[in-house]
Amino acid sequence: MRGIADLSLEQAPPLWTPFLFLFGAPWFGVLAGALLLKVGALPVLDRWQGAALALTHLLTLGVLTLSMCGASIQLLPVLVGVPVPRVRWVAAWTWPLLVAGTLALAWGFLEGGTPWLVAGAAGTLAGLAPFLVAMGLALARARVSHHSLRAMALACVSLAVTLVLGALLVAGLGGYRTFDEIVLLAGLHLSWGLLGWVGLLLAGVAWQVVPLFQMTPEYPPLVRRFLAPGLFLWLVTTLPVSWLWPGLWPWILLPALLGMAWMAALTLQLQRRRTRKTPDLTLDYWRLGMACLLAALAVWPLGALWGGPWVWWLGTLMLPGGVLSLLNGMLLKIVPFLSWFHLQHRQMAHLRERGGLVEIPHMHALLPTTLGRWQWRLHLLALMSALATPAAPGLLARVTGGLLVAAYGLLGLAFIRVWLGYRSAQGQFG
Amino acid sequence: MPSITQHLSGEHRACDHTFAAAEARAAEGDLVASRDLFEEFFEAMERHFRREESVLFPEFEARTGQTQGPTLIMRHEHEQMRRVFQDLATAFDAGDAGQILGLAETLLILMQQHNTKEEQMLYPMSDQALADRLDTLLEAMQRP
Ligand SMILES: [Fe+2]
Ligand SMILES: [Fe+2]
Repeated sequence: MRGIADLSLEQAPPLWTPFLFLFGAPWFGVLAGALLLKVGALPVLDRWQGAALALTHLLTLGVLTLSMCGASIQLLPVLVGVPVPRVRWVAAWTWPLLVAGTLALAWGFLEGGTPWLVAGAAGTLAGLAPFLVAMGLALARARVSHHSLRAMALACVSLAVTLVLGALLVAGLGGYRTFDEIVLLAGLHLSWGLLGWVGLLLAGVAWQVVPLFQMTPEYPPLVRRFLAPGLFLWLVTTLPVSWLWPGLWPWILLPALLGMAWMAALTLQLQRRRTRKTPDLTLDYWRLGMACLLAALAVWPLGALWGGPWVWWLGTLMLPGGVLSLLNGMLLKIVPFLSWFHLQHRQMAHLRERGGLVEIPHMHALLPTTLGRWQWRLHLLALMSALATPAAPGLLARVTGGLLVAAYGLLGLAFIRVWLGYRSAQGQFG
Repeated sequence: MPSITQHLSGEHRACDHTFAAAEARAAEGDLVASRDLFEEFFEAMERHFRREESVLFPEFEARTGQTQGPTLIMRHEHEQMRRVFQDLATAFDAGDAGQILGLAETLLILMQQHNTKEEQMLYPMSDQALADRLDTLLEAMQRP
């Protein structure tokens, strides 16, 4: 009988591999908040400030990429039927390098300067390269071929492009390129990161996850078939076109942004038609995220034309409002479910081999819904404060920083609570 | 042309609907109505499991020679779900709404992961492997 249980879990990676990534992510949010507390209004006034760049990278690499790596390790076997190969090695290699690389990069932007930037970029690249190779191998071996799979593969390619563009930028900051080129490169780096890596991965995941867990109708087949490749092809076109005709920048991004907006609007509409009516925090997070993404699109032309506070609003709506809301919503489910899943595996093995049912905590016992709701309230407050910040940057930037520390601190502590509950339940099995 | 994928995925959707209604009643605090709907859901799921375990899986195993492969994993996941069905019944006996909602959400994720694997991998593989026997199989799977 043992064989059965082992085989079933064989597909699921060892618990520590996704958890290493998922547990680390909130603390980068705490760091980002602490940074804002310390520097105050600087990043609000000018996106080129070192502090602004440090803040962005703590959120995009630290919170976002770290947890997307963890979530991919976990979701791949379920969504495409194939585990990430050598997942222990990949996790043990990628995690420390990505963490150290992100910290070095942030420090480089703040005070450290070029040597730290180079070290940070090198660490991030070296950390993520094997991860991307492993993901690529798994996707190539997938037992199914569906549109989510293609979206995920294109997302991985986009991450690689983003990293290369980032490395080029670091070389530029070292002093061998003109400022105009740096601005354009930074724009491309940002678009490939947000629209390519994050946007495509979220689209691929949403097509599977939203109909499944929120019980909505399926996304229309045409959207699933053409959106991801279309978005990707458009991003590919922007590379040479914006290099040859810099005047087209950033308007050339418009079709890609409209594609994302369409996706967000469609998701909101599908969610209105959901079968599962039980109140659900993840659903609330997804609706907030999609609404923020739509609002970001409305703000985008103003940011491109006028700059100033519009850029701050755009960034806030895109990143913490849009993408990080979606992420929070998923993490609050993935972490307690995985813990329960591994506990149930032990429980059933115990029942078979020794008889006697050992009680294990379910998802809400591991992560109480009230804790999740408080996290949501803090996240909302941080978001509102961030949006209000241009009205009184000196004060509100620090308030936002404090709220970010609280919101992500609570998320990090909630995960630690899940871990402690998991450990003590494990203890019952002797 | 009806297929295994179509037929059995349809049963998944029907079970989803009953589950959603049962869970919503529990969230509103109406545990009596919720319990009735959950009983209905357990029955429908058991019927569905039986179709897979005693019609589809044996045919698939005989045709492909894979007895240690995907069907083994699916059978184990059925056992995991049956375990949660029992936990839910216990929670209803105790009248513990918090426990019921926590178990229901846990079950939802477990069930949907399982259904995805079947709908995207096992069922299409079966449609291919058993193409010449679809009519007989589908008929066997219509029986109550
Ligand atoms: Fe099944
Ligand atoms: Fe099934």
